[in-house]
Amino acid sequence: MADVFDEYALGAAWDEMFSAPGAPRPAYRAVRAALDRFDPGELRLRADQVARAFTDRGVTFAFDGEERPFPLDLVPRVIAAGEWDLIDRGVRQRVLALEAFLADVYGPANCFHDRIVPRSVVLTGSGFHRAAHGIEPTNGVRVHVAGIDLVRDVDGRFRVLEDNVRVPSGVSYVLENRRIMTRTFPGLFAEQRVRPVDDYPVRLLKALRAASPRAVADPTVVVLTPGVANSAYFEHALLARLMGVQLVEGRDLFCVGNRVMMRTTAGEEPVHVIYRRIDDDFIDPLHFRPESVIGVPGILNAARAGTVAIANAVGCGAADDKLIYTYIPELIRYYLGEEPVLENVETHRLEDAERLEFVLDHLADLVLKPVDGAGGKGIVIGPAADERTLDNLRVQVSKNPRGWIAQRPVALSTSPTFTADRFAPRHIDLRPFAVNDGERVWVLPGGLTRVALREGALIVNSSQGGGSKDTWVLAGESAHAEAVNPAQSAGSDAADGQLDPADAVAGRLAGPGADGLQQQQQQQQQAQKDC
Amino acid sequence: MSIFEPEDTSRGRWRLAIRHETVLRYDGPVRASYNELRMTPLDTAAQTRLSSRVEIGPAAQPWHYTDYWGTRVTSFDLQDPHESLTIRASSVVETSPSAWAEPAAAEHRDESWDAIETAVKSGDLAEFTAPTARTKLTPRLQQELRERVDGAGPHTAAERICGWIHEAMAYVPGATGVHTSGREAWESKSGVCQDFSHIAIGMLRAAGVPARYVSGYLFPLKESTPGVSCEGQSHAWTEYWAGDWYGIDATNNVAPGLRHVVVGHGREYTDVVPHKGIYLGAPDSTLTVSVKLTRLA
Repeated sequence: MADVFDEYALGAAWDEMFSAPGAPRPAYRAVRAALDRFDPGELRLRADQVARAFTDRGVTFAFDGEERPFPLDLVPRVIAAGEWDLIDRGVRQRVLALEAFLADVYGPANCFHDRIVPRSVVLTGSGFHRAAHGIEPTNGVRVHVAGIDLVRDVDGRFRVLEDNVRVPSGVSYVLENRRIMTRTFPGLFAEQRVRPVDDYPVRLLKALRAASPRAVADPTVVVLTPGVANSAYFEHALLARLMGVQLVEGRDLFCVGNRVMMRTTAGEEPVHVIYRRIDDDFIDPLHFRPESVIGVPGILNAARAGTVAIANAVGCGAADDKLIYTYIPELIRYYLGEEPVLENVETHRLEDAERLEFVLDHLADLVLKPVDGAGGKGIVIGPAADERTLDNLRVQVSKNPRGWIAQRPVALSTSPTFTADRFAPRHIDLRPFAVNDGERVWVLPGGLTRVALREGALIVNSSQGGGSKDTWVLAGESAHAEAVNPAQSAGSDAADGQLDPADAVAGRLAGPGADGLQQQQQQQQQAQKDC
Repeated sequence: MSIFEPEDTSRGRWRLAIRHETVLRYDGPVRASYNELRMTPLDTAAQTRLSSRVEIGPAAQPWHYTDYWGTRVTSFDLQDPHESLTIRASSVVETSPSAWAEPAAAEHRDESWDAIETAVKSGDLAEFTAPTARTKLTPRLQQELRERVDGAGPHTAAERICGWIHEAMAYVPGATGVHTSGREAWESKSGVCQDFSHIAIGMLRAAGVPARYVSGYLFPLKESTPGVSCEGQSHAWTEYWAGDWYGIDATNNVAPGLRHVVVGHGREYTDVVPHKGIYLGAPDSTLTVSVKLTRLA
């Protein structure tokens, strides 16, 4: 029988499973041995099973205008206990620094006075919302949920690629992947001590309840979704169900005298914590886009008055702008007095004329990213781009240097991925999810491993044709007294870093109708001078 | 006459009472109305707020906060159907003469770009140097502007800009709307104070001088005595930064002083809208605004 790993060719990148041809790393030995027992036909069968399980549960995403099952690869991504410890510490540190930065930016602004970050960088960022200034979260938390994207460089070092603290999504894949893998390959888990992921909803609910206004003994928590048309609706519904809270849309909520109320069959009920999966721009038409009908007018002032907590807080985008990213190592030193546990990918800021010139001269060797893009949109990978793309890029970047950063290309690590009849190396990244309840930042052991399914491709986002892998964090020899049976959990849908605003309002923008939402403004005029 | 020559040389302060009444009559019932008012004068070193009050009809429970720009905001909502909305904002403030009335003012006017350059480089004034939708100039106007202010110091540039706008633009109520940009108003050579201010901001920023929008009230009479009452309206003018903030009122070609009451600052009109709201119901309404100013002392 031909070994399915026979033709597995290692490239220049760090390979997650093999340190040398035929030599699996210790953490992967059991997985490798288990996979060896299957022949290609059997693997195909399992792959079909997985796809069907996803379609059945509605875990699909829109790709090229078509609903497809989100591809889950058969080979899990395994992270040894020691490696995870580093990620866990690094992500916690990062989230604490991001929190401190946001509290500063929307408060005393010390980092500007101390010249750590130029004020202009924050003021010109699209995620900085002046309307959120002065809103003080009850327990100090703005980033209740964070998704910190990591990649592994050629030396096997984890580096932070970007931070997501607006509406990070994808955790439902983590839960769903585990559920389906356990069913499809029960034997794979037999000899492994894999840390469970199914207490995520409990942790999230605990953090949300901790964010509620102090006077409330038993807070009402809801999940606010843009609606079924949103690509991540499955995730919203799943999390609401697993937490045992209401899933609501904007029209189910309304504000009266700075209090948020929910319309229920039993009448009106006050709401204290809103886990919102709606972008800032759409959440309150009084302060942001007035045509948004998926939001709740008055909700921002309710948060300002302290009667409701919005999670994540409005304005968190000030911290995950890709230009701010370049300052995070400095911010870790400034706020926490620590050295960063996880390094950034080497990045150029373009506001300096000389640096800009250097970057414009080396576009073919660099990766250029729009600073406020999400989901891999707008990224140009220089070494893979044609002349015309680079020429266009040159024009765009010269026109708006604040809008871009340039990064050294990272040869993302590879992992064996099933392709029709054998395993081949494909590039992967990792998005660990962190939940902050104000006392502790907890990092879900695992996270979402995304895989670029096309050979050689480096963009792993599902909207760009990516898939995912079940991510196993192995329990350490000593400490972890956690259950290691990953059997029960639930499901997911598709989405990347942030919600696509186009999805968020799909088909739901109100026209100026007779009973539609109306705006009123008063023009400033000076009177005639006669009295 | 230079705008830096203060129109009132008396060093004393004025006490002004302002009564700003807004009545909206909708063409049908309206409900779920959420509103924010920016109508309360600032309390600063140059201007003392002695009292302020906002009344709303139908009755609502107003709530207050101070926004990012330091402006006092009144917010309220009305759930029940109503066909009209009345907002009455009353206040009493004490105003100071223009900074240029100080004998030492001439020394301030050292016409140096150094302070501006340093401050702009630090990034602290980034909000007041970047063009916005309403303040952006056409390339042609930028060229024309350069010819007029080239070689001038910042105060002189501000003075020329103020005079130029005052001369070129006609004050025509109704010529423009709330959404008109400074550029559009300039093309039509007419507008209201909001437009004058947007053009001034655009020109100052293009000339390298940080500038901001000021929303407030103006007592229309240059000459007056205590006890005089007068119809006014909410007014807008401009401040530029040259080591400190200085005002110019392009609508009247003066430096703001005793007659000007400041409510708030921002990058442009949208940051200090006197009344903005969102509601369900009849799309059309009739707006009546009256501002009455009384010089008390």
